[in-house]
Amino acid sequence: MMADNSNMTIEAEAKLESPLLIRSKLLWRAFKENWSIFSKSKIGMVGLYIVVIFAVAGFIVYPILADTVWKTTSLNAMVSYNPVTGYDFLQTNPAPPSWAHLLGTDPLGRDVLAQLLYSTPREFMLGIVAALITVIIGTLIGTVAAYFGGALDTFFMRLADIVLLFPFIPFLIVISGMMQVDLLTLALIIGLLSGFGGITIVLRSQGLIIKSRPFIESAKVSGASDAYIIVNHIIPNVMPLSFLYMMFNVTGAIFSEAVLSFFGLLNIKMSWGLMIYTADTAGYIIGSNIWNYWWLWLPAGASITLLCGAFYFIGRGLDEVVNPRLRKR
Amino acid sequence: MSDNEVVIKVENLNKFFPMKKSVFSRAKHFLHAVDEINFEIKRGKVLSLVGESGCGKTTTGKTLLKLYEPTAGKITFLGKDVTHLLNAEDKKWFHSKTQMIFQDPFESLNPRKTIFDIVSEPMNIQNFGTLRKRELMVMDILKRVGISPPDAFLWRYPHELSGGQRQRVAIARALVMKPEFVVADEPTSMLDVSIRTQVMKLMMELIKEMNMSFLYITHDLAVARYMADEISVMYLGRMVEYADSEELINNPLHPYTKALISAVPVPDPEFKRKSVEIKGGIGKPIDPLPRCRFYERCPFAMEVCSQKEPELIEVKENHKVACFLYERR
Amino acid sequence: MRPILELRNLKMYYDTQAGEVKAADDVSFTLNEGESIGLVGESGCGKTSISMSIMKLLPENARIISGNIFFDGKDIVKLSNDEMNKIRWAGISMVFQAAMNSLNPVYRVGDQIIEAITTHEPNVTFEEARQRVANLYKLVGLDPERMDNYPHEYSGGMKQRAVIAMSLACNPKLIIADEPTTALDVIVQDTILRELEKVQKKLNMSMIYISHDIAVIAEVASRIAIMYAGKIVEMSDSVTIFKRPAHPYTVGLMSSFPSIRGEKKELVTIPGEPPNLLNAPDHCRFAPRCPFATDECWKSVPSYSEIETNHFVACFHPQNLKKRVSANV
Repeated sequence: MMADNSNMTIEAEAKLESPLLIRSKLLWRAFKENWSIFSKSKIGMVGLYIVVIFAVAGFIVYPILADTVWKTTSLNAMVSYNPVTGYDFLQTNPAPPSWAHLLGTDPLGRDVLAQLLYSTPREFMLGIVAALITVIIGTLIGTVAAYFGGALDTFFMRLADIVLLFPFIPFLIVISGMMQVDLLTLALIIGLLSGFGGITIVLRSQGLIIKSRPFIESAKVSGASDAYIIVNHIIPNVMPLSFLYMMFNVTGAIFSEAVLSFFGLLNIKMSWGLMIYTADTAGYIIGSNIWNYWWLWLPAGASITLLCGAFYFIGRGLDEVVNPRLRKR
Repeated sequence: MSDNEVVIKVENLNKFFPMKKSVFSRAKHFLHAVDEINFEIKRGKVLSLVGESGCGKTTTGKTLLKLYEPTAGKITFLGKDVTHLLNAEDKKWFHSKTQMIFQDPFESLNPRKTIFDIVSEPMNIQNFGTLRKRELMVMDILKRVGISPPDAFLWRYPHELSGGQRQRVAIARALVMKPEFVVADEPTSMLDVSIRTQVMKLMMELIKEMNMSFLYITHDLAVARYMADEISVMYLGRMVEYADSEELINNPLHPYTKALISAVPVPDPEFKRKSVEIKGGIGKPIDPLPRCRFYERCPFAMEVCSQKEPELIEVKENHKVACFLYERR
Repeated sequence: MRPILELRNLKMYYDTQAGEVKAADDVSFTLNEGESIGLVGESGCGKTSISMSIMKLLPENARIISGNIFFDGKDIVKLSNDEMNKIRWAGISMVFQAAMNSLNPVYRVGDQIIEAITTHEPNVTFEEARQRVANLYKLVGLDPERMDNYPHEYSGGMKQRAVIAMSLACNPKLIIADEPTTALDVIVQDTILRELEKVQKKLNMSMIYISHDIAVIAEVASRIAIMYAGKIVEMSDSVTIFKRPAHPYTVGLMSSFPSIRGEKKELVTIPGEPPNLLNAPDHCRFAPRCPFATDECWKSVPSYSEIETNHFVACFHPQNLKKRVSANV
């Protein structure tokens, strides 16, 4: 059974591929496997399509439109398509949809479609930055609390309880009253707050399960430090769950922004929530006006619902990748 | 390096677990998981700890490898006191020379790591050798444990392997740095019958070839007889009998050992076993009274058994028993 | 003696994404009233699939392709689910693998058994049922006063006894015990086996024991069927199986168990691993692991035939083998 060692060494040396190449192949294979599971989930794919459509509209279509169709020599056109400062002088505003303005104009004479597209990348940025911060904080605290336990664990869990019970939106309203909140600050605040909240509890309980598995003891027997075990064993095993919660947190962040903008509390140039706020303060979302001036609120409202829903749907699809029990055989 | 060298020596080892209710209250009750255990293992020898679940055999193994901090007693490894490893250098030295093999091959390998990552982890933690050297050592040991061709398995994940192959990988991982002392905790109890024998034989070969000392933990006396030079029977944290394996199987002294041996089913339909009837079930050694722990269940219990605890005394050469029936007065 | 259960050429396949898994392939045997037989085999050999087919508790992707199962003269393969419900519990009952987890933790143990009785026999009053449970408790060696305890107040062995009492509740004619003692300690296993044997003799029931442990089966079953890769490879009364085994797998299985009696013997290993039942080959399924395989074995499947009275073997060289085995082992 014992093979000739020297012979085998030479043979082995010839066969070894560069580790970097192998790792990238492994990653690609893991991606393909997970994709094949995810792509079977209808709800997840619907979510993904919606997100892709919004991303294409916001990141590709808007810059092209702004550079070509909306950039004509006529003075009126030049100003009326600016999503923040534009005004169409040639008509009474708000004007219903027309060929010049596919989704009409708002009470301040700005093109609604331009506003909508202009806001899209900002919504993405807000949602993803907030969710990323949430997940990084949640994963770190959750795994550390789970691994060390004791007083540290108790402290962070009570903190999470407090954050969970915290009136989130009123707090953001107070904050925005005290300081100028722009989009990035908002993303930071949302990310920090939800990072210490519910997600920590979920990731900690996942961490507790992983901590009790024998491969952790196996590493300890080899002399692994606590940091090594957390980084190399616990975090990689809670990562899929973290990623899943990230999707759900994008939804929460976009939603919070919409609410705050609707109250006019944010110091930002343009967003979907702000579009509705503008229509509201001008008195167009009252009584029968709602249906007469539908283009003022429906595109923005639908976009908020669709994008929030889409990230939630992606999360549901990922849930099937992460929790094999949910898969249909 | 003489053949009679004592590799690991354990003197009056105790491990108590506090039965705590919350972080703030002091523990009033203690589970005496390991209570006054003494043994030593010479180079190349195998000692088997046998007992029912909850008898403290696994706790003993884990305490030896510093997964638990001993409550009292002394552990000497290669002539050095390793009861409390205080400085980093001693820790590194101890952990590079000791290893553990776990029961469940499905749980003891991190599902997100490749076979190469798993087997090379001890070297990784210990910062041993270059990447290339590690690769060659991993290939060598994989081939040695019967995973062949090794390069076809290096980049696979544990879920792609059968139970038997996984346990072989776990053994490879434990032995890759050529440890002097290995604790094996029921390494074959989860495997299929035909695979179990293969793995037992493999371990026997490797023990001989690498001249390792083994602590083999099992509930199965027949397996212990096959694997071990010496067997020690544990009951509720105490060592009740300790002898050469053939002597213990053929000539058991302690009533508990007799009951244990008589309860093993015999693969012979014509053989009618006579079970030693013992009363009740196994309890938990929480704040045990100072008397023989087997007192309530023992068919031979005497008055003295309820008054003090029997000591483990040598009644024959290499045969120790903790029972008043054999105490010469 | 009257046959109570007869399996005729039963084929049960699973449909999986990868293809058809032949879990039970052409299985035939007869069980007489008051008789106990044992099914022995490694995990994945189809022994549990057979018990599931008899109970008709098949997972969604499993189908009985062909064959008959006669219970008490009736072919239960053709029965509807409603008709089968009457037979389950009252005609055939089952003690599941890891049965202790099959008790519902939120109900009292006694009440769970009473419920099983009253659902199948609506005429029985609560008081009568309670009395019957008390008698069952005595029968399996439990104190009837423990009826009003919850499962967590029972030890592992007590739970197992309660589950056995439950399976006896409706006076079934046949009990299938699937690994009834696998998770238990030796001494508890011993008492449970004795209890089962006693109850079976006293009530003159038929029993099917399913286990991977040939020693356990040797103790309780009067006839033994050895299964390998979805087929019965050998079947006879237990003495014949042990004294004159004819199939190489049976021989390998018996000599690969370390024994506690007699001289310490060298263990014989069966090389290789149990085959995948996916796309089973059209030759003898044991051929790749068989030390006696000839060209014939690689060409066709050996028929299951009677080599002496009541001794059935599926092997091309049963006679040859006997001589060779005595020379080898």
